[in-house]
Amino acid sequence: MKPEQLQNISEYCYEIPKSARKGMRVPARIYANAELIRSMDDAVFEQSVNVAMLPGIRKYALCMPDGHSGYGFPVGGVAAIDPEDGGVISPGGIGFDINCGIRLMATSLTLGEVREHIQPLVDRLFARVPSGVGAAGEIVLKGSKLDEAMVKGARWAVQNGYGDQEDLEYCEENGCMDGADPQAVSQKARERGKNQTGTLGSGNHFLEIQVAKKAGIHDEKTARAFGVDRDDQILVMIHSGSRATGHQIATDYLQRFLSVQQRYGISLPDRELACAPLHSDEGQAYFGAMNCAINIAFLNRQLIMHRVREVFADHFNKSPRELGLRLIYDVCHNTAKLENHEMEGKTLKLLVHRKGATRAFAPGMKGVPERYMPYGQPVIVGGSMETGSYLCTGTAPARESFYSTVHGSGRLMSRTQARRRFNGRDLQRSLSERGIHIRTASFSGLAEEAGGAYKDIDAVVGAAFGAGLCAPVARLVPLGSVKG
Amino acid sequence: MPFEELEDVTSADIALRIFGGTVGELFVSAGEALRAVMLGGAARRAEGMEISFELRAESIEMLLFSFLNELLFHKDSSALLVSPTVVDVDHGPGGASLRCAAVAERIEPALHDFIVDIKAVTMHRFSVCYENGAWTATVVFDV
Repeated sequence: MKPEQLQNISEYCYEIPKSARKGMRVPARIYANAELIRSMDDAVFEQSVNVAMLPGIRKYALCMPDGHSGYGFPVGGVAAIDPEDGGVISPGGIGFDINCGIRLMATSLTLGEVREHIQPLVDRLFARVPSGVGAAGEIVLKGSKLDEAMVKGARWAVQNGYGDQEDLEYCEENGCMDGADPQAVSQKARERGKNQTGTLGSGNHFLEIQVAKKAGIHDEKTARAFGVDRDDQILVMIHSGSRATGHQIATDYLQRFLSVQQRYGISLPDRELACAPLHSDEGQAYFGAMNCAINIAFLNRQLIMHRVREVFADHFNKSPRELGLRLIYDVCHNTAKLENHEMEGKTLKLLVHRKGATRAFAPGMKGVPERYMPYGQPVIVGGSMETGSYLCTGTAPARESFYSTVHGSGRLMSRTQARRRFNGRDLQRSLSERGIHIRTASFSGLAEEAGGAYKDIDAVVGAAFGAGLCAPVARLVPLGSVKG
Repeated sequence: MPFEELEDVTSADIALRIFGGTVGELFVSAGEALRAVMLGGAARRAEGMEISFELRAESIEMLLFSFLNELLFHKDSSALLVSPTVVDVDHGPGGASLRCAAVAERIEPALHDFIVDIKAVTMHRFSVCYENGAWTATVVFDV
């Protein structure tokens, strides 16, 4: 479906009106420039229309400029749902990798100091941070210890010696989501993820050493406030999620919602959108379990960051503090959160589903760390290992998108197309010639993550900026990457 | 292989159409397809051990959904790749059930070069149907 009814609202916004399909409760809006909208697969429009049919949805079904086809929601899909109006919670609007997200660390190191160390550093990170299928972490969480971790998230890690109190200040929700209910997590979910805490995973998950070059700084004042404060500064980016615990929680509740949604009078065109009212027993149970998975993901990224600190400290024979290994921020991608939003002069508590999208709070908003309050929430946009990533910031006009923005470049090619086009070992060689050292658990998987398989990240961030969803602060260039 | 990839369904994930002469064969094919998308069709097999399990569901579709999820569960919880050899399926208006005999191999990084990890089975376009004397399923895996 590339709807005839797709209307160009502005340079960076397209709308499918509510009248386009029976059952739509609100229009669907896709943020993109003309080229990005042409590159989007038809399923993005179809899936956005389906999202617009969810009970309780307010204002618009949204899709961000990095949007591409998913299941249920498109990847990049955002829906703000009013629980007081029969609004639902849908695992398909969150994704199986609950709280897949990115954290970005600053260092006090510069490219000149690190250039000769990239290869050994990446090799040591690859050895120290388990990645790929079947890799087990060093911490096995079971029983009451797992319950505690599911409630405390990154705070559990800090309390057990894996990080500093200050780290928590620089995570969304301070690394610990309220409302986690371990009783709502099945034995299967507990069992399935027990060995995966502190592991990177596979697919598009990565651990990357990057440099912020002077020419890539878009907003020097905000960059300094975030801790990017010297020329050619080295940063470390971590992309991972809640691992198999989150996958199983989403699976469990997808099944459960399929069997109960009819009872609530809900019928939707895609069964992956299966849902239940938030104010129902099933909705509350999933909300509690999902918050457990959100916390497991915070904990996972905190443990990985701790290993990064150990590797750098050991390699340079200096303490993490001496190396300036400080967390800039940790953002979530796949969540549903209760947030206050202004609509028609009223403050509503809405359940904002973001699937492959990032929360982007504006300057002065509650939830932004004190240090960043005048600048907005850091938004970390993970790009491919070839082309680079972005550090951005939240902006006031993003109220239109319920303070949501892009999360990455967005796929352009299917995985199979990418595998046909690129060869993992050749890619590793050619990147090495360009000074980017890659270690991977899977060369076939590496081919799927080639830069050419993704959209142009400069265009994606440019469109997000043009639409007022966030503002670029610094472009980050990859130097070395551990791929799952 | 008793399956084909559907390239126009999803860019980030993997969509398959899976075939079987009987419903039991369809389930065996689905297990083979899951292994093949993760490891490639020609991937070597490690020494395995025989296991068996039983499942029940409200319909044949939900039985296949549970069956594939069971295989994913073994992969993550015990680092085992489970390849079904024989699946006996009963189904009717009252529901569906199966008994599966399978071989389970321990995941060995030196032997198993994973192309992708499958995180989940989605319900997007999920279907099982019987037409012209053969069984077909459409499955989208989350990568």
